Amino acid sequence: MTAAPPPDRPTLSVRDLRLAIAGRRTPTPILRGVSLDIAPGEVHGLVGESGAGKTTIGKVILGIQPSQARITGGSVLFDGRDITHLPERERRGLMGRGMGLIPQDPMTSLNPAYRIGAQIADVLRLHLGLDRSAAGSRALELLGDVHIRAPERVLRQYPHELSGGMRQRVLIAVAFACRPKLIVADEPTTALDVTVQRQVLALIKRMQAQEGASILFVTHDLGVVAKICDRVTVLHGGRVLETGDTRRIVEAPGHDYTRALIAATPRHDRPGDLLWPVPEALMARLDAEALAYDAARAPGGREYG
Amino acid sequence: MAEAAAAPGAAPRAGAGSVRRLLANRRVVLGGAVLLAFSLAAVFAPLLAPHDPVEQDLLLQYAPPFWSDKAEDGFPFGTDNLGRDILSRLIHGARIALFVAVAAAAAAGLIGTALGLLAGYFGGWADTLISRLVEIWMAFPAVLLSIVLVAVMGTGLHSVVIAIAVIDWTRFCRVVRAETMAQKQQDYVASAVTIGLGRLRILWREILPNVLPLLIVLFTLEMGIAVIVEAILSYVNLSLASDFPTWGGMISDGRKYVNQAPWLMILPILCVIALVLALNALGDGLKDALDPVMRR
Amino acid sequence: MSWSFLLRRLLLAIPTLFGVAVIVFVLLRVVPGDPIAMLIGPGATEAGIAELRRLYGLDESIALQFVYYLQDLAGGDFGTSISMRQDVMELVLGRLPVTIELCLVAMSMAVLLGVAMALAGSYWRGRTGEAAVDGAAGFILAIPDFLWALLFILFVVVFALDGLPISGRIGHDVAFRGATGFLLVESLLRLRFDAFGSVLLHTVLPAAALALPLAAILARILKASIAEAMTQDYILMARAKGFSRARIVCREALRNALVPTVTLTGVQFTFLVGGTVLVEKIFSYPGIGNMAIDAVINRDLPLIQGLVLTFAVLFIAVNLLVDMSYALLNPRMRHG
Repeated sequence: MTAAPPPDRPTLSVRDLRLAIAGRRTPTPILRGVSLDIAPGEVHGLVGESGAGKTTIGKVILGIQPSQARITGGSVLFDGRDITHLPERERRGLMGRGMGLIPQDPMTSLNPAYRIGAQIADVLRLHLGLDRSAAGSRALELLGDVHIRAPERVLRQYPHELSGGMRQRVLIAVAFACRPKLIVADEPTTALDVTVQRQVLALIKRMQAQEGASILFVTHDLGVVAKICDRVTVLHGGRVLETGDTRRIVEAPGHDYTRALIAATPRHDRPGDLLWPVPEALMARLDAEALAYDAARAPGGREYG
Repeated sequence: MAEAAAAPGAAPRAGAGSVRRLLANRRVVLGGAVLLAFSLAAVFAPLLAPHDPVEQDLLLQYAPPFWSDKAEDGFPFGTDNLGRDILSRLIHGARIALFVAVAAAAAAGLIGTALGLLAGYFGGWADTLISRLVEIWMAFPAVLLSIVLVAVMGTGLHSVVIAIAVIDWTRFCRVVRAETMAQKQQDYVASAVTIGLGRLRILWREILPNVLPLLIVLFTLEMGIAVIVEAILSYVNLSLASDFPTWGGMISDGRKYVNQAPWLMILPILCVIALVLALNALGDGLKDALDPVMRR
Repeated sequence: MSWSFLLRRLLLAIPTLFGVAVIVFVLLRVVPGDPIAMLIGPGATEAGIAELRRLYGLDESIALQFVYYLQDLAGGDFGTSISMRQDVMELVLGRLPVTIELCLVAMSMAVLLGVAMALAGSYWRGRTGEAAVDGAAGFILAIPDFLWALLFILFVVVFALDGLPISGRIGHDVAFRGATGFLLVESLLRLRFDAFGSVLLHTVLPAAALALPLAAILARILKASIAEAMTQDYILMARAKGFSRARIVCREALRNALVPTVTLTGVQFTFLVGGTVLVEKIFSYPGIGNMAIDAVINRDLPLIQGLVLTFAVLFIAVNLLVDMSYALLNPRMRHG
C-alpha cells in the first residue's frame, strides 16, 4: 500500500478492456481493448451508436454485466484498485456505495411493488447501516435535493403514480444516495420528453457539482455531450477511436467517424440543417479494422474462452 | 374428383419420418414399453395369472410377499385378507383398469371431439352454446361429480365409463375447438371451400385428419386420468363388487388392513402409479414428437 | 381494496350458485334412474314407493318440483337426511369447520412449500438446484392427491412412525370437545395446547396430501414468473445497488412474480377443496368430504344435494379469497 494517493490519480481507469459474449460455438467480441480515464470530478462522455459497446462498458464498471459476458483481458481500476476480479462480497460492497447508476429507462427501473421511500432507503440501510427512521429522513432530504415537490407524499407513493421525469429524479436521488465517487449515467435522458430532458440534465450536472462525483455519461447524442461533458471518448465496434476535451472533439474532430457523427447530430440552434448518415465506405473500413484487431489479438479466437 | 381437388392445398400428414422421430423420443419409448407390458398382462390375464383372482383360501390369509422369510411358495406377492393371490388379482386388475381407460377415453373423446369440431367450425350460436356449457361443466368438483353420477346410475363398469366421459369430454372439446378454429384459417380449407365441398365433408376429410395428432395425445393423457378415476371409484366401492380384482378395491382392502399387512396396499398403488406415469410420459412425449406435424 | 369490489364479487357469485343448484337438480332428477328406488333400495313395496314419492314431492311435475326446490333452498331448507334422520343444514354446518380448517392448513402448507421450491429453483438458476426443483415438481404432479394420501399411510405404517396418526381428527385420549368445530382455533384460544397439538398432528398428513400437487403447480408457475421478473430493469437497478442474489430473488423479484402467479393458480386452490372428498375418506377425517362419500354410499339424496351445494359455496369462497389476495398484492389495484 502506498501512503497518500497522488492527487491526480483517476477515479476510474479502464485499461485495454476486452470482453466477449459466450456463444454456442465461438464467443462474440464486444469490447476490443478499451482504455479510458476519468479524473475526480470529471464528467466523461462515452459516445457511439447502438452496438458500439458503450452500455457494456458501463455495466462492467458497475459489475452488472450479463452472465454470458466474459472479461478476456485488461482491467478496470477503481480508485487505483482492479475491480474486475474482486470476490463477490467485496464487489457488492462497492456497488451502490462507491459507484451508482442512473439507468436509461426510468419507467421500468423502479420496482413497481414497493413505495418510493423504501427504494431509496434500502440502499442507505444496506451500505450506511442507517436504521429505518434515519434512512427515511435521509431519503426525504435526497428527494428535496433532486427538486421533487411534496417529498413527504412521494415517499409514500408507488412508482406507477409518478411521471417519467419524476421517476428519473428519484433514480438520480438513489444514485447519489451513498455519495459515490463515480456515477454511470446510461443514456439517462433518452426515454424522456424533450422538455424534461433539459431539466434532468441540469439536475445531474448540479448534483455532480454539489457532490463532487465523477460521471461516466453514456449517450449516442453528441448534442447532450457538448452540454454536460468535460471530456469525450468516441467508441465504435468496441474500440476507442478518439478521446479528448469536449470542445476540441466537437470543434476539431480528429477521426472521420467523429466528424460523421457530428454531421448526423441534429442541432437545436440550426434545426433546418440536413443530417448526413455515416458514409458506407467509412463503416466498411471500421468493420475491417475491428476484424483485423480480432485476428491479431486472438488467433483462432482462442483467447475468448 | 374430391380426392384430386383436395390436392392443391394438400393437408400436411404424418409420414414415415414421424415414426422414426417417435422412436427417438425417450419418453415415448419408455412410456410405451410400460403401457405395452400392462396391456399384454391385461390381454393374457387368464394365461398369466397363476391363480384364480377371486378364489379364497382362508387358511392362507395374509401370506407375505417373496422378500419375507414367511412367504408361501406359489404366491410371490403374498395373499390378501381372504387368502386371494395378490399377483393374480393385480394381473386381472390391469384388465379392468385398461378397459376403463380405453373405453372412457374413447367415449369422452368422441363427445368432446364432435362438439369441439362443431363449435370450432360453425362458430356463431353453436359455439356460444357449447363454450358456455364447457365453462359451467368445468366449475364442478370433478371427483364429487363422478361419485354422484355413479351413485345415480348404479355401480358397475359401464357407469364408471359413462361418468368419466360425461365429466371429461370438456378436455377434448376445448382443445379441439381451438385447433379447429386455427385449422379453419389454413389455406387448404379455403381451397376446399372454393371448390365447393360440403361443410361436413370438409370437417371429416380435411380438418379431422389434421386434428388427429392432437387427439392421440389427448387420448393418452385421458387414459391416465381414467385409470385414476377408476381407482378412486373402486376405492370408495362404487365401481365393481368388491369381489372383482380392481386396483382401487385392492387399495381399499389394503387401507383397512394396513396395520396387519401393509404389502396389500403397496403393489396396487405401485401399479396405478406406474401405469399413470407411463401414460403421462407417453402423452407428453407424443406431444413433443408430433409437434412439428402439428405445425407449431 | 374497496368494499364495492367485494360486493361486486359477491353479487357475481349468485348466478353461479343458481347454476349449480340447477345442475344438481337436473342431475338427481332427470338423469335416468328413479331417485326413490335409489333412496329405498331393493325390496320396497309399491305403496311405500308411492308414499315416499308424495313425501318428496316427486309426484308433481318437474317444473313445479323445481320451483319448490328453489323455494326451499332460498329459505335455507336443505331437507332432512335420510340416513341420519337429521336436518341436512345442521349436519353440514356441524362438519363444515373441520373441512375449512383442513383446507386452510393445506393451503398454507402448499403456499409455503411452493414458494420455497420456487425460490430455491430461482436462486440456483441453471445449476443442479434448479434441476432438482423441476424434477421434484414434475414427480409430485404426476401422482394425484389421493395416491399421495395412501403413500403417506404406507410410509407411516412401514416405518412405524407411531407419532403420526393416520385416522381421525383428535386423539381418543384428549378430552376436548369444543363448542364450534374449529378445533384448531378454539383449542389455541382456550390455551389447550395438548388438544391443539393432537389436532395438528392428525391434520398434517391429510393436509400434506392435499397440499403437494398445489405446491408443485405453485412452484412451477411462480418460478417461471420470477424468471420473467428477473429480466426487468429494476432487477438490474437492484444489482447495481449492491444487493445479494438471495435478496434480489426473495424481495425484488418474488413480490412482482406473485401477482401473475395468483392469477394463474387461482383455480388450483379450488381443486384442493375438491380433493378433500377422497383424502378425508382415506384418513377417516370427519369433514364434509368424508360425509359426502358416505351420503352417496347410503343414497342419501337430500344430504348429497346439500353437500354438493356446500362445496359450490366453498369453491366460490376460495375464489373470492384468491381475488382478494390478488387485490392486496397489486399496488395498482389497491389505489384504483
